[in-house]
Amino acid sequence: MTIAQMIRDRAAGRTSAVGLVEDAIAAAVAAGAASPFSTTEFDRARGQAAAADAMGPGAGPLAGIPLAHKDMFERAGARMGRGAHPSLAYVARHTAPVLERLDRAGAVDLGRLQMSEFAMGPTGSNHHHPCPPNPCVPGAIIGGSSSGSGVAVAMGIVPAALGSDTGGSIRIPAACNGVVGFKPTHGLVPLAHVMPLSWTQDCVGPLAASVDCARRVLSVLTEGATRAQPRDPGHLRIGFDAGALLGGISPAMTEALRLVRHRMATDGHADRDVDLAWLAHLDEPANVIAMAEAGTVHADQLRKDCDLYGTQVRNRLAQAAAISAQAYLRACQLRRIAQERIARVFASVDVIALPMMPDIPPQVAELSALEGASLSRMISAVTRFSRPASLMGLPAISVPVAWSDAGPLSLQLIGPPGSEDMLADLATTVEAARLPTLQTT
Amino acid sequence: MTTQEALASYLGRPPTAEETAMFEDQRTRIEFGVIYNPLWSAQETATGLAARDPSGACAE
Repeated sequence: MTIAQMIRDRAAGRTSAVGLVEDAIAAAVAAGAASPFSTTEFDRARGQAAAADAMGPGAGPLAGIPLAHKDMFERAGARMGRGAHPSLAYVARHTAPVLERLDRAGAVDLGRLQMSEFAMGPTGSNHHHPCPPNPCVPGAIIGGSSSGSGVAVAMGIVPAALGSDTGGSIRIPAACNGVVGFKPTHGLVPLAHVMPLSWTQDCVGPLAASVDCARRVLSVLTEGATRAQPRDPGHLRIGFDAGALLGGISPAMTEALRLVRHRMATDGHADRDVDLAWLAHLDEPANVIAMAEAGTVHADQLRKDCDLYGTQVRNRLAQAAAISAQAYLRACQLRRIAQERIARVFASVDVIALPMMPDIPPQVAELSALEGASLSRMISAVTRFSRPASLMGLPAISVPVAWSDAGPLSLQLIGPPGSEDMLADLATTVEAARLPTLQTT
Repeated sequence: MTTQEALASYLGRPPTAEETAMFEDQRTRIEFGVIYNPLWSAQETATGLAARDPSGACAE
């Protein structure tokens, strides 16, 4: 159920905030071992729902709407797991401003959702905790690092959940689970009392059942700096890569892109060829910045509790020790060059359309045997289309645009800084296009 | 400082073979991915790298 449906049902007296929360709790409990929750806060959620009912359905833009969030947002008095070894969990002393904003909007917080260890890892696997199955594609990865957020939305437990995105961690699990993921412009949403990973790339945003759900939540997170309601996007100039960036994407994704492009042209948008091959050169600068900053965030803890880190995360953090100050600063200079280049691209197009991933989400079995440098290369492959927007601090929205016979295919719309409203308006029309089922072979 | 010494200082214990391999792999990737990145075009370099400090402020 979407947020709009919940609001309508409450306004019509067909349900209450308590009823919505009890439905969400029942769905979470029924999931059993497949539950995406790491910590439930159902008693407090029931109290929030009762308060929302006492105030009435118009008390806030998200009044009585049940949500749950990645296990990295602090709430005073609540346990913070961060996807880490259980002995590294702690009780938060403060509440993150993003949660305070959702509280003021009347949202109900059901608890914390599973995530990749310390938000490191695009597959959603976790060394310390069992991984819920993909509710959308049997046997496929759930994506990370906001893995539980994608699963909770795809299972229909909540209409939206907060995630964080440093290299694709909102958009990739959204794509893997067939839901919407919205990464805002870097700096638009406050990061205080949110677990850091890479402070120059970290962003907070929603994974949601629809574009409408995502923008309603984002509007609360930005305190109205972004619109909650859609408008006609007008006639936009949409850039599609005509270079070599898309080499290696699947035939199904190629066909999905072709159909979306045709649909956009039919809707009156101007589809333009742009050479985006140079975005492929951003992968390593983005990785160097992320790992150097993550290594700094974790330096003291790692030296003290090295073997409490999972093998994959520890190995990735070992990369950070190889990154000199000069390498980090040169990667930052490359980011400035990239930002100047993309500004020139946005002089000729309003929006860039890219695949979110090269294909449907890969199967867990394909990835479980990888380690070391092979794992690094796999991570680069999964994140090759997500990292450029992260590095350059651009807003991007991931939307499922087609279903193949084996899973969802998601498109990513990227705009210049501050273009969240335009992206959401366009994404609403893309979401509504309902492309035919595509064959994977 | 050797690779082993650098990693031991960073990790708080001697590194495993896999951690050492990841360190070496990253060092290699910095060479072709950052130091020799194709985005260092002549035109952009000519505008002055000194003006491109990460904060965006002009150093001159």
